[in-house]
Amino acid sequence: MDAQQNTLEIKNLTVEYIVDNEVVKAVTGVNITIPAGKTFGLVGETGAGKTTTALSILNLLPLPAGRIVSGEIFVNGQNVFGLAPERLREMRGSQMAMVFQDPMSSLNPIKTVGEQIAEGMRIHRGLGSKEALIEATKMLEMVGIPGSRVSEYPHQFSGGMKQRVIIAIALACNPDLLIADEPTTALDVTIQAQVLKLIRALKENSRMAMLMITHALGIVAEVCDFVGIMYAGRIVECGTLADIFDDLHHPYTRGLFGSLPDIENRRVELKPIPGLIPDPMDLPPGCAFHPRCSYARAECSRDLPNVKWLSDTHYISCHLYNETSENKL
Amino acid sequence: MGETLLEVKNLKKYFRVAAGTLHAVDDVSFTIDQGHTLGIVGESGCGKTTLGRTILRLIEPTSGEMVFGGKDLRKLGTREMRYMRREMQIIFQDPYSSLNPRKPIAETIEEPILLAGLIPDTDKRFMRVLELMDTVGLAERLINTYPHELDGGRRQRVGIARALAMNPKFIVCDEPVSSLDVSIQAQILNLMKTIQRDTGVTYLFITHDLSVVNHFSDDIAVMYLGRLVEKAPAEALFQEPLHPYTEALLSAIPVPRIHNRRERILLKGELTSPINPEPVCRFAARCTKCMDICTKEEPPLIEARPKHFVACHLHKAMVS
Repeated sequence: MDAQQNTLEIKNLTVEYIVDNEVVKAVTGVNITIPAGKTFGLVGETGAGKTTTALSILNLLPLPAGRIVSGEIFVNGQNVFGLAPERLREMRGSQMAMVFQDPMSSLNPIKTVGEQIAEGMRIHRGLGSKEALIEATKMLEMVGIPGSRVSEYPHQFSGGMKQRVIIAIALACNPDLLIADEPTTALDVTIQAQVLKLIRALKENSRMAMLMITHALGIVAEVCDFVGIMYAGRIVECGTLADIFDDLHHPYTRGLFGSLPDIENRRVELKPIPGLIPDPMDLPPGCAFHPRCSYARAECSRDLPNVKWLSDTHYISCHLYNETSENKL
Repeated sequence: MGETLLEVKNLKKYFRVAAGTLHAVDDVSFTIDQGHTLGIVGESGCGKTTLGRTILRLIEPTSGEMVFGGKDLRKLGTREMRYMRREMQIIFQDPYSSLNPRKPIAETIEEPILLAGLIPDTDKRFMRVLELMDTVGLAERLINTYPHELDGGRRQRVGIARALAMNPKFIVCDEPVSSLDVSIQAQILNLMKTIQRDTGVTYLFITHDLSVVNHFSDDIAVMYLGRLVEKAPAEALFQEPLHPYTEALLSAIPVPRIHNRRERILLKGELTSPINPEPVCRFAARCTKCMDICTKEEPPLIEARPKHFVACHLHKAMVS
């Protein structure tokens, strides 16, 4: 596909961290494409490399530990790794914005929420202070907070409201790409439902592309168009929502679904994935999932599985499907 | 039906805060049968953790009774209570902060046995520690490791082994899987179920995760701002919730499925404050079915259907 058509294109991204002179392979060979107006859910457990992938898009990896080994990331067709720092700063906040997981620690406690929303508008949209504050009030109302609270401080808001404020900051300059890192994980379930509704409304009313990072498949089912399942730094299965929820192929994907209690039938036994998530400093050879996989064969501990396309939208990285895609689990 | 192991009667725990009196647990009553699991669900600040700790007298209640195995726990002296604690244990949410970082895990598991003087012989005590580690699925080679060397799932296994060390009859589990990844969470839930099947232990399972509580509990109690608003067998609660709050809570669960999705009831606003609450229904302000009476009188907990209790003006007590 032409790079111009997609809001985000990540090509063959590999990221390492150097910790205590040892190499941690955080992300390896990740490809993600998000067309305008679509939402991509990146799913995985702790240490899978989800947040590292997100930070790479903004070129915000912690330095000097983090290092982009290879790969390219295009936002609106521009390679973010090739940009001058000033140009990159212009893009952050205006073309791409990020919502962080923890609403308690990502707001400035000594600035009013209005000032924090207005800041980006002054910098990126060139608005004057008064104008920006009026716009900020509108943004607050858009995320469901009364505009009258624009000059209050973060501590005066509850957790769900703080997360709405953060969403308002991210959306202040109409970004083309929104990266949301576990945006509802810290929230109670009824408040989470409110925030998810807001996110869905945003999706319907704009052409914004979204990268949604989460460990919860329930949230993916609710807001995403595409899903990538990440394990030990690689995307092991990727497809449309229907590909993953109706036609999953990877044993790890199946393990994730099997680990979730069935809300309709409480008697269904959980089928957890045995073993533990591997240490990224010491990944097993071959397919990193093989020590936990009940389908593992000789080649799984030896060779890295190739990517196999099952359809135009659905690919998988697993030796089970080397010969055929018919080996249903 | 099994025998009642624990009966909680009109339990209250109020805290004095600058703004007034915080009603963390307000007039909560329920019973748990031997070998059963009662799940307590609710959102942040509903009082579920305070309830668990108050039952164990880790926090002294303001008023009310906890009758455990026929004994009123509040009437026990320090020594008797300490003795009683062998039978009632707790597993904490955060396996990172509830283990002593300076002790190898074997010592953490051994400590309660040592303190109680249950097994004076060192070798036999060591065998017991190995046995407990085996029960919770910790490899013997980990015996001298420190908590920081273990991942979250294994640390939680240590916490469970420590709780099991005294062969307790009753364990309060305060969000035991909330900080774990889903694949590990399922391992721990299955482990706790196996332990219950083998030992007949009774659980009070506190969580905010409704799909987990449904899977794990026999009965479920829903708390809202210090009040128990509904209690029923798990199946009845999920199939036919009576309280509008329970209904909204259940509909808010993100279901990992893309077909046959249910309509969602969205609640307005957020939790109000549990400080100096008015004597009215605490959920009234957010309730989609609020009536006049709801802002005038506080609904009592009544048995609306067999074993199905609810505190809501929409429902009338069963005529027996």
